[in-house]
Amino acid sequence: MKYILILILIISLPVAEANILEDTTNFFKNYFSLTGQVISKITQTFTDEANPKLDLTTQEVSELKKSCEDSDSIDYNKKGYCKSKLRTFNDFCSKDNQMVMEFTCNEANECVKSWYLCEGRCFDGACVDVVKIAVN
Amino acid sequence: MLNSKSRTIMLISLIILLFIGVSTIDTLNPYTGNTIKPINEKAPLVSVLVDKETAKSTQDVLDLILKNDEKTIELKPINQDNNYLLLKWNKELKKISFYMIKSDNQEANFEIYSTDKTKIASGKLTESYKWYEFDVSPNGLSKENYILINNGPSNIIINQIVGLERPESFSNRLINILIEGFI
Repeated sequence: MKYILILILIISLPVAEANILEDTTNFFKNYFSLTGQVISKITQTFTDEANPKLDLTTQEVSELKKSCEDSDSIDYNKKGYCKSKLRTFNDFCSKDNQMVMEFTCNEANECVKSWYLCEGRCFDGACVDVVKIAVN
Repeated sequence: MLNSKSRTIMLISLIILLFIGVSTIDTLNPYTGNTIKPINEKAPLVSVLVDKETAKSTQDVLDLILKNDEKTIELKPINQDNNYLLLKWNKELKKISFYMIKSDNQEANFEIYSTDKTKIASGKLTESYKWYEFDVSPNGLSKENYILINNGPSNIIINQIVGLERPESFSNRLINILIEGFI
């Protein structure tokens, strides 16, 4: 009985192995085809984002130029913000309240920053006269 | 009691520890320059006046800004003199400080840039000596080289300039320590 069982096992093994191999091949075939599709879709998205349509209308060009916005146009006496495609930055004061970090747009439509030394003091992201603070 | 393998391992460990120890002593006592600012704020390695037309150095002024003494640099407005002040450190900075004053009762508008034309700071000076400390740790402002421009009309008198260097990352420091140890 034992020998018969071993014989059956030996005969059935290649058949089972063939099935397993076939299943595995199919699995990987499907998997790679799926990931291939996904990768292709993602790549297309990136390509689209990197190379916007070439036939832009005047309005679309104007919109693109406006992709960076400086709310106070470098007015140190106003608390403003700079909004680019990526994020928004608010003007803020230095720790010693002597300077304001002013954000503005550069030629590449990115937000850039620099310190400005206030003549009075910096309060809540803007330069103010010392007298004004005392009154407030 | 210890076999030869253990003795070898202990000896190698001891040598490595010795290297680390010797090189750490050096890194814990950095060059600080002569300044009344905290010990970790260093004077620049290079401080020169540069002609904006030729981009060539016209005067080495490092000696004038090192100590808390009477020596000063008098930076004239760039539209009169064509010169700006170029400062170089060894590493990127976290903070840059200037001890300066304007020379008369007219305005003294200054601008600080990095050498890649990033504007770092601007403002007007007062009639009394003051430390102007700019936090350059925010991303994009931390550089090794800076330029001070006087937009006038008054001259700017600078007594001292120091910078606080960015600390090295732990991994970089460890690599440097090991390299210094083995050299």
